[in-house]
Amino acid sequence: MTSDASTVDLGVDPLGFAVEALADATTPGALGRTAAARRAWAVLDIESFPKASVDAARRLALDVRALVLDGQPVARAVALEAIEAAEYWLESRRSVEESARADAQEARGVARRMASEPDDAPDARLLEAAAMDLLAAAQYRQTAGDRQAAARTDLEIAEVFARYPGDDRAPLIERAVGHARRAAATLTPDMDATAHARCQLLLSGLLLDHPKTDPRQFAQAAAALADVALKVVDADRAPLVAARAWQARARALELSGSDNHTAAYTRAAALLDAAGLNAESRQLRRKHRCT
Amino acid sequence: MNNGYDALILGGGPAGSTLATLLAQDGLRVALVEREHMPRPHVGESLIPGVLPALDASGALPLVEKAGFTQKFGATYIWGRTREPWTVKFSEVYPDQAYAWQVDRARFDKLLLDHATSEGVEVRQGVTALGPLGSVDAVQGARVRGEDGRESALTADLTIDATGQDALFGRVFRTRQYNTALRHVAFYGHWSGGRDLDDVLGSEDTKDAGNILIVTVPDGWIWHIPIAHTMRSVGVVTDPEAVANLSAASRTDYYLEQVRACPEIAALLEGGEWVSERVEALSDWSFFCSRFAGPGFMQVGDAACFIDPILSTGVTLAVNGALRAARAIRTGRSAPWLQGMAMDWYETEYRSIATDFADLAEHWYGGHAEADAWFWRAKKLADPTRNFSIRQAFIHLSAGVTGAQGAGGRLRSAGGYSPRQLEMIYDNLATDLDSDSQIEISEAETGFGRGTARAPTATSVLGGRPRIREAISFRPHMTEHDEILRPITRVTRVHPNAGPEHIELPIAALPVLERLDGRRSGLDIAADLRERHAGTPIESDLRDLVAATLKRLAETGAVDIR
Repeated sequence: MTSDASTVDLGVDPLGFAVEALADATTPGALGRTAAARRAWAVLDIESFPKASVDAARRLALDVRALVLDGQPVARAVALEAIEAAEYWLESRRSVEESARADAQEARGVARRMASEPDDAPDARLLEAAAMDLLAAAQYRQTAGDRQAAARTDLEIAEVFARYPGDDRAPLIERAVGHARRAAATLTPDMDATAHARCQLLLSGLLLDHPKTDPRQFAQAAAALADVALKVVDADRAPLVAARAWQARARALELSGSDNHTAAYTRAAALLDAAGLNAESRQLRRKHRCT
Repeated sequence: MNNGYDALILGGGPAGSTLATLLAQDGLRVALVEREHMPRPHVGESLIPGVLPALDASGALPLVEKAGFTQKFGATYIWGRTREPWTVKFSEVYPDQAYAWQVDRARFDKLLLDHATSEGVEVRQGVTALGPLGSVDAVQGARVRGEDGRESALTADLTIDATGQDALFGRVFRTRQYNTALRHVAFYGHWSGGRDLDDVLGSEDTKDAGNILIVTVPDGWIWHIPIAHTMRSVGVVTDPEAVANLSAASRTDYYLEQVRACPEIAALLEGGEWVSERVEALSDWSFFCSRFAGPGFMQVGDAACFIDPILSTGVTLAVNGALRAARAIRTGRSAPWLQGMAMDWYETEYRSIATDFADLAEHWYGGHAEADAWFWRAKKLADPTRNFSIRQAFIHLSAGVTGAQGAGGRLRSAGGYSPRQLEMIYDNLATDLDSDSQIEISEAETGFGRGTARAPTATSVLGGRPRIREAISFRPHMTEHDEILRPITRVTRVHPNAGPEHIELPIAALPVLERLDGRRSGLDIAADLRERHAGTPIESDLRDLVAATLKRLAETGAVDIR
């Protein structure tokens, strides 16, 4: 039995369903754990389950955060559930402890960023709220002296600033670069290859996005950063990150006038399929006329 | 194994195209087969504002707006006790969505299908669906035939019958059930030229020119739909037995005779020319399939149920069914553990809307046929959720607006009126359309929301012995939240003098409701549940669950606590 399914029919025995989900939520595997946490959260409403619902909320918020930090895709519907769960967790008494509060804020910020998709029309209000959450979490991480955790939060902050579609993007892009560089310095390939790859491909895109520079001038440097990401990322383990890295490389190649960009987009599309993002893969293939 | 399709849609009318678009936008790999090549002629040109949410959700609304279809701001009727025409305007109830359109279905359907293609749907025209692959207990795709006559099998995780009144799956599975009260036949054709409705009826509002006109005649009724400035659809709806023996040529004579004998229609067609090659005939036999969904399949639009065209609800029902089907499918894919409940939700919701429309149609005909026998008898019919005048209530119904999300969230349910309320609405239309009478609320007949005067406490609800009141039922159901369905327990009160009312409780409330027998106290129920789930993480919460559930039920008057 996978954690996507249940031996208990929710419409017949909702309490049995919840109990089974809570048991499954402790099993190994981030994807399965997240699914189980969602099943529990679907039943354990706040008013009726003042104790168990806090635990369910905490698990769901943290499991979704773990998926994102690990470079896995998170659907908007799941991100919305995680926002709700993190908010409840934040409001509950158990999150008074500062480290738990930082975890909850970071989880909500990460989920807000994921819910702000799609990339072509990100929700600015959600991104602003995400930035506030993540900056608050970062402050705690720095105070607590946890360098790795602080670096991961930096990476998430960089992701948010990189996506923000405001009028004057230059200062935000510069801040995003700062956070991404700091994160990359700590999250070395040996320590966290996926996170390091995310930092590099993010920096690659930021080089080309700065409104005050000519992207063609930096195309070669951007391609080199994407190559670093491709070198360190395990495409089997994190196909979405690998796909993004190939997209970053393809974009840089396209700007530099290379013919190889179509092949790079094709690789990206295949990896998007592997990550389960079939619609995005089809869009990419159509847009860039790749096979 | 399947062809790699997540969804295979049979039929490229409004239901099929809209659902295909919505699913493709959700990232599914969708194939759609359509027997004809678009554009192809089709009857059913008059839309009502209830189409807006689904068109908005699929992204087709701006395309329809730009297409230049005739705007329809309301409807004009010559129906009831007098020959005096009366007009209702959608703006009287929905100022922000004051119009729909009269559409050339050939263009409209093509527009929706092209939109589906642009959203990534693999559309195959000229391909006829022959039947489902597999059985009613496990549909795995469909057998299809191409234009070269070759048959093949297309497989998919989910196969959706949107074949319109052909109702492919309904026929094969023998689930179609006809409504004997609504059996009509329509003869129709298109005319060019003629005069505008506002001109013929002497209306000062030029917007009335776009209205549909419905006129009773001795043999039935006639529609007049201005599809474009120079083109109009005119149809005669009558009893099939009255025209059963007519030859094709005689049908034309009959149709023209009926049209010319109706003074209002004849005036509208003055100077106009009949441009159809022949009179088309359509059996408007209303039916419902006994199930709308099953393992591996769904039915949507006319393929699930067809309602008499009197209130122009066909396309509205089709696209709203598509919208709900998409939500159910989206939910099942996002949360596989909710798939079964989501399909049940689709069937319940869609059937409920369709049943409302069928009830309206039946009452409409009833109001005409027995107009002399009707009388004002309902003085205190209750529906605490609505506060419409008779006229507003009618417009509300005829706009076909459903509870779907979209269009700024202004939409409310069109249905849910009890038979007695409908009688009252139609009674008043026949006698005094402009009545400002409100549907009054009787305290004695109201439902939820008027429970115990004093707010119950956890102690009081747990100590008493609660019993579910009569006419209250409950079941696991779902509610819409951010376009995703969530599980709930739906508690329903059905009152003979009011439409059904629902309250939503958490899904976890279900086992509490199942134990409300009037013998056990709240504490007994909590103890029972705690024993059942002893040693689990939820054990210590179960008393809170029982208290919260009983408190809500007591507040809404759904339980007696002794």
